Amino acid sequence: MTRTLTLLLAVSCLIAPSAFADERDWSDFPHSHETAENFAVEFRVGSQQPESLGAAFSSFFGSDIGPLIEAEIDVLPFRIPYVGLIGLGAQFGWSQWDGLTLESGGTVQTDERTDLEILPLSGLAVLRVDVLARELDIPLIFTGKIGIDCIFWNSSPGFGSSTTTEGYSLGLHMAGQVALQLDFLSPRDALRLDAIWGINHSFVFGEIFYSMGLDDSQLPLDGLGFTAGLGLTL
Amino acid sequence: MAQFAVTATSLAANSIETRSPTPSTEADFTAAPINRAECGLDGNAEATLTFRLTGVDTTRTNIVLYTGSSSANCNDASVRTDTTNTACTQLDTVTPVNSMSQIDLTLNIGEPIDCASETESSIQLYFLAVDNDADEVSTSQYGTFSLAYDLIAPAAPADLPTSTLSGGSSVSVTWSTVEPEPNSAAVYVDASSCADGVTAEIGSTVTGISTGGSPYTLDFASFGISENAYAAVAVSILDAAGNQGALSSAFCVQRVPTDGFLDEFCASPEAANLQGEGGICSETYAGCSVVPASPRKSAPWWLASLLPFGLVSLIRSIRRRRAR
Repeated sequence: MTRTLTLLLAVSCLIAPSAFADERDWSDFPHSHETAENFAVEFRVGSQQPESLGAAFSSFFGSDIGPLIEAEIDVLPFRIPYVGLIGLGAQFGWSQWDGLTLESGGTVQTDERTDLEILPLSGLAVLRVDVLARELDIPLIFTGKIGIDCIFWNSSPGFGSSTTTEGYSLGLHMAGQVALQLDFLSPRDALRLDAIWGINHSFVFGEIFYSMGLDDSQLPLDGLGFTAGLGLTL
Repeated sequence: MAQFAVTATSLAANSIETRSPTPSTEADFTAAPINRAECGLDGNAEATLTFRLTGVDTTRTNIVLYTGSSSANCNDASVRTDTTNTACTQLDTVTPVNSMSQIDLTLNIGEPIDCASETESSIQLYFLAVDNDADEVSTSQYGTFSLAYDLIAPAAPADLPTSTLSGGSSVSVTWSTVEPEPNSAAVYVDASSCADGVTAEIGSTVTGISTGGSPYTLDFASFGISENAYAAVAVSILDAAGNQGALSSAFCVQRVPTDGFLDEFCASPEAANLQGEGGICSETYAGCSVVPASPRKSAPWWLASLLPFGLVSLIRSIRRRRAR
């Protein structure tokens, strides 16, 4: 792990300096300067597999990965010198798994659909470590998130004679993200985006998260998930 | 340029309006043309169409009705009197003006449209306000109305199920059609058929008919199909004009007791904590709506409020930056 990280940093140091030659050159925009960076927005798609729903989940939805579609907005008012930005974020998403019902008491599939749909809402504390990008011109950003999930869910057919059963589950949300800042692809365009639109940086990222249920009396939607997407800081 | 306005005010068969709301403009008829039933085909009563002419010159004596294509210029007297030009046809409809600037004129659908031989097109009606027997009319003394018609019944839908569909409360039925959009379908259900689970026929007494598009959710309860019972289902297509096509081949559906995901989960060891009084897996579960109805089960709205707060802050920040 240490060797891999060292190798990664070394390669980044080799390629980054030349690619970042113009990053802080604002001569094309003489009346502009780098704007404050206080917000981040992310759009992502991925998959989450609840791990506490047992054999029922795998038998009905086995091969269905969702997908999970999410958006997040972070307000990052504070900067920790030589570390990064810290603030709060709100995340909302949607995912649905579907399959076919079984004849009661048997294993024969019918032609009627059954599904489980979730709408996760999360309030998070966010720490965005961008010191490598800002100080060393290495375009990697590491972000840690922790907060509370409120996952609204509904399933049809519902339990027993209900057509739909719905509820919500609370959980502890933890996530880690690695992002690649895209300014190096076209530094002058990145400056233009900042000068005209206030978009400081754009990035692609991969994020892994875990939601841990907090109440045994709620539907256990704990599980590991992975998403990837595109983000902007403003 | 037309002097007076022409709108349709009534489309009725046996004094009953055939559509609600009543179409009044050319655009209404373009969206939903005159159909086979309104033309008196397939055993239906022929409809009558009433037009209202508004702003007629009261010095004229009669309104004469011509039909032709939109490019025929039947308002031009020289075109009408040219015996070598058959583009314009006078209908036997002459209505006196009687010093009235607003005139209602009713005609049978079969007068401007040859319902026996026409298929799908449109015809231009020319309402000419004339002042003598020679049919002379100035270019400002006429009104026009383009009347679209579609007398072609859609083909039967294809790609319907060939084997019995089963489900607990509903099944999804899909089909394909070559009929262009917009279109819908009439779904026929006969709960007295398919008793052997195989032979599907739509009999003379149909349990129910519903309309919808593909995919269509067939709810067993709404058609009176009880548990373990069969029914036959067939579909016919309705086009934009309301023409109904041939019925598809019928297929069987069966209502069976089923277990969904939540039924199986609630029977598993993982749901042990959820089976007590008021739990998700109990009959006394009060449930929770995404729009909360019960304070006890209401959602923590402070979580959702973070998002609009963030959006407002973001928008205000961008505006401040652009203003600099």
